[in-house]
Order: sequence, then C-alpha cells, then structure tokens
Amino acid sequence: MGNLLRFEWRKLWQQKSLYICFGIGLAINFLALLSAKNFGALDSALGNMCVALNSGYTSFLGIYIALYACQDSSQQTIKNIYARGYSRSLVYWVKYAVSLGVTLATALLYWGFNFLLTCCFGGEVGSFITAVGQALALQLWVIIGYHGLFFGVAMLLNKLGGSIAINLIGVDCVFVVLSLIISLLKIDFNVMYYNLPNLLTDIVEASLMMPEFTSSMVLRGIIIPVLYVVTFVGAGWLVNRRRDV
Amino acid sequence: MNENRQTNYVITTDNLTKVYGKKTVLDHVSMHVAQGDIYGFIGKNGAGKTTLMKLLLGMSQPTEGKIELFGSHQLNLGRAKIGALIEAPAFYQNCTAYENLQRFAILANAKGQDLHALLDFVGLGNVGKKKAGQFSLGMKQRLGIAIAMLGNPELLVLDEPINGLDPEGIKEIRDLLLRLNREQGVTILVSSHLLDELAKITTRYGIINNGRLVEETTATELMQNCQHKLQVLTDQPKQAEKIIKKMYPQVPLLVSESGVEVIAEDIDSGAINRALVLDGVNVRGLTAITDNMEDYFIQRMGGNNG
Repeated sequence: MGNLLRFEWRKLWQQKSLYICFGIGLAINFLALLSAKNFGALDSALGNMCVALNSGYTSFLGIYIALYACQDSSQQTIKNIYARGYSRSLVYWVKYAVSLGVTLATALLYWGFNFLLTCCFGGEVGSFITAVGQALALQLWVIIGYHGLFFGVAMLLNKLGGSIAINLIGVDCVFVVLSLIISLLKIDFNVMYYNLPNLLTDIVEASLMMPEFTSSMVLRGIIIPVLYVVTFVGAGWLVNRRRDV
Repeated sequence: MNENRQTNYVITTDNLTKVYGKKTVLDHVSMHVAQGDIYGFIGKNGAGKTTLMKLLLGMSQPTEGKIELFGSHQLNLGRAKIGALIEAPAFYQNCTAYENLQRFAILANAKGQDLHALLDFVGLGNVGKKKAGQFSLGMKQRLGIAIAMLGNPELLVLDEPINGLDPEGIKEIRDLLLRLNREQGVTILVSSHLLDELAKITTRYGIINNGRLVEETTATELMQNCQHKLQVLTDQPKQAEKIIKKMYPQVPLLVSESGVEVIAEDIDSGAINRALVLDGVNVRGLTAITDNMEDYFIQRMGGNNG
C-alpha cells in the first residue's frame, strides 16, 4: 500500500494541470479581491477567507479531480497497476485518499491566499466570531462532499471529457430539471435544499450575516455532504470493482 | 495436483471461463506453465489469448474456473512477481521513458534498479527528453517491455511483444527473452502471431482456438508431431504404390500423377529406392519433407476457415 500511495502522490504532484487549474482559481480570487478593493468594498481578511471557496474553487476541483481520476484509464496505465497485484479496491481508495488530501490542502491554500492578500490590500483582519469558525469548518466539510461527487462521477464514467463536463455543469443541470419536475407535479419539496452549490453559498452568506449558525444549518451542512460522498464514492467503488480494463 | 507439486507450475488454470454477454471468449481452459518455461501461446485473433492473460493479471474477472499463480490462490501476491505487457504498451504519454520507469519502479518495488541500464537493455538508452507519446511503435513496444521488466519479475507475461518491431528489433527482443530465461531463470508466457519467431525460443506451446485450449505440448513433442513424409517422384506411380504398400502396409500413401507421398517418419528411403529400382520403376527423385510448424499450428487452430 505504501508503494501505491507514493506512486499516486508523486503522479498527482507531477500533474501540470493541477497547477494550471489551481493558478487560474487563485487568479480569479485575486481579481475579485482587487476589484473589491478598487470599489472600496474590501471585506475583512477573515470575511474574505469565508468566501474564498465560493468563487472558482469548485470549478478547479471539478477539472483537476477528473483529470487525475481518469488519467490511468485514459492512458491505459491502470493495466500496469492491476498487473502488479494491487487490488481494485486498494487502487480506488488510495486514489480517493490522495486526491482528498490535495483537495483539502488546496482549500487551505485558497483561504491563506485570500487572507494574506486582503491584508496586503490594507484590509482589516476582522474579529473571529463563532460564525467564521463554523463557516470554515462546514465549508471544508462541503468541499469533502464536492470531492466525493467529482471523484465518484469521474470513476464511474472513466472518461475524461464527460467527467469534466458533468463535474462543471452536471449538478446544476440535474437540480434544475428536478426543480422543474417538482414544480410541474406541484409537490411541496425544496429540492435545492440538497444542492451542494446552494449549500456552499448558504454557508458563506450565513457567515457574513449571522453571529452564529442555526442548528438546522449546521445539521444540513454536515448531512448533505455525507450523502454525496456515500452515494457517488460508493457507486464508483462498486462499479470499479467489477469493471474490466 | 501431484504433477503440480513435482513440476512447480507458476501458472495453472482450472476450467477458466470468461463469458461476455452471450459470447464465450474462454471456454474451460486448463493451462499449465512450468517454472523456467518459455511458453508460446498461439491462436488466431480473437481466439482468447489476451483475455486469458488479462484474467491472469487481474484486469478482468473470470466467469468460472480457478487460477493459481506460483502454486497459490493468493493471486495478488503472485502478481507482484509478474511483469506484463498486454495489448498496446501503457505508459504516461507526456513523460519521458526514464520518467515512466521512475514512476512504475515505485509500483514494482524496484528501488535501486539501474533504470538507465534497463533503458539501454531495451535499446532506448539514447531517447533523451523525448516524450513517450512521440515514440514510434517499436520504441513504445520497447518501453512497454522495460516497464514489464521492472523489479526483476519471476514471470513475464507478454502479449505480442514483437508487434511493430523491425527485424533487428525482433532479434534483440528474442535474444533478450532468451537471456532472461537462461541467465535469470525468468519464466515467460508469450503470445505472438509470428510463429517462426516464437518457435526459435519457445520450450512449451499452448494452442488456443475459439476460446478452447486445443493442445499443450513441449517443443520436442511438437517437432515429433510435425508431419514427415517421403516424396517419390516417378512416371509409374501405380506400380510404385504397390511396391511401397507391400513394404509398409500400415503407412498411408498419397498417389498423384507425379508420384507417391509416403506419410510416416521412420521410413528407410534407401530401401524404398532399391526396391523400386529392382522392380524397374524409374525413380526421378526422392525427397524427405517435414511440414513446417506454421502448417501444424494452422491445422490445430482449425485450419484457414476456423
């Protein structure tokens, strides 16, 4: 397992697309903060930390996870891995763990970037109220949900182009269609409550408006990402266990 | 099982079957590759060679049957001792040959292996910084073989390893496999369409046709099994047939306008010649003919139509 971890870790860090996507994401954040500064609407550094993952970060995740997860199947190198006696489950979970580790590390870097840049632009640090801590913790949890969704989709499809497309627009499309169906059927059910992008936005907004999160918000922030991880990562694992290469 | 213990098989399959939908691609294949063998796996396109190799290597799951690697059912432990090249060589296109070896060396636990020497060994010592994706077919094949050789495997499973190589490259790979087998005791399971090339190194053959293992035989047995015949050229084939029939009543004869073919290995051509001449038959020529291996395999693989 140690060898496989080292192999995957090395491969991911040597993946140029990771740095390109990451750099583009940071550039978007930089431009957003710069324009806020120019308009004189620069929030505190802690406040900007809370919004760091809400502008471009999830797109970065959707692309880099698809590129990483589909790399071995698209280049057929997965054959070399299985042929060396590494079980499908082990390969799957190591890929999951490595990409999750990088995802969390990049989230922390985004936060740090926004915090430092705000300070450099002359913004205040801000006071660390409960809502900020809750927002950061819940956002990280939601990002784990996002990672599970993107990783699961990529491993299910095993096709690079399709995975990137679905990761970028698939969730929104599915929820728009579901909303339409529910509205046509006149059922009283707020499907958007379960939408990850909506959840992330709600967490960011709550952190900016309330001193403390409501318990229902915390519960929603904890449970929904778990549902995504279990559903998509589980489905990807089940399919990959039996898939011929 | 007793034979298993005595011979030390590195690969044993028992009624291995793979079904895709309604198509049976492998049909109850029981294969035996002994330690030290160079096992030539022969069959037409779609006969099931690659499928069987994929099952051995865990790339595909069997529908039925069992596999033993190095005498054990713990297949992933066995696979750790195997180097493989299946179908097209697989590597990271945007990495150099050396970078690819560096990566796969981690998987193969090949710490300390001289990767430059390995590249030299397969003839890729001078490719420099060229990305593997830009390699020619032959270079890709060589890189695939180098990746398979990482970690000094005890068993090499090579699916059409000389595809795309020029004659010089084919000879190099042939010599390389022979060296690995003789000097390092590496067992090799190799499939190829180039039967003549395969025949130069193989010690045991498995012939597969339509998913069924038709025959397993050693190279020595194969030589014996190849059909031998004596061709007698004469203007009097009927008279010659009578004389030869009297001498060898059990031996099948093929009579044509140009002469008689005596189908058997242990024929005394001198005695036949003398008998024919003594009876006044004009013998224009006597030729001993052995069917080449290609004909033998084609016959076993169901002929040209099968």
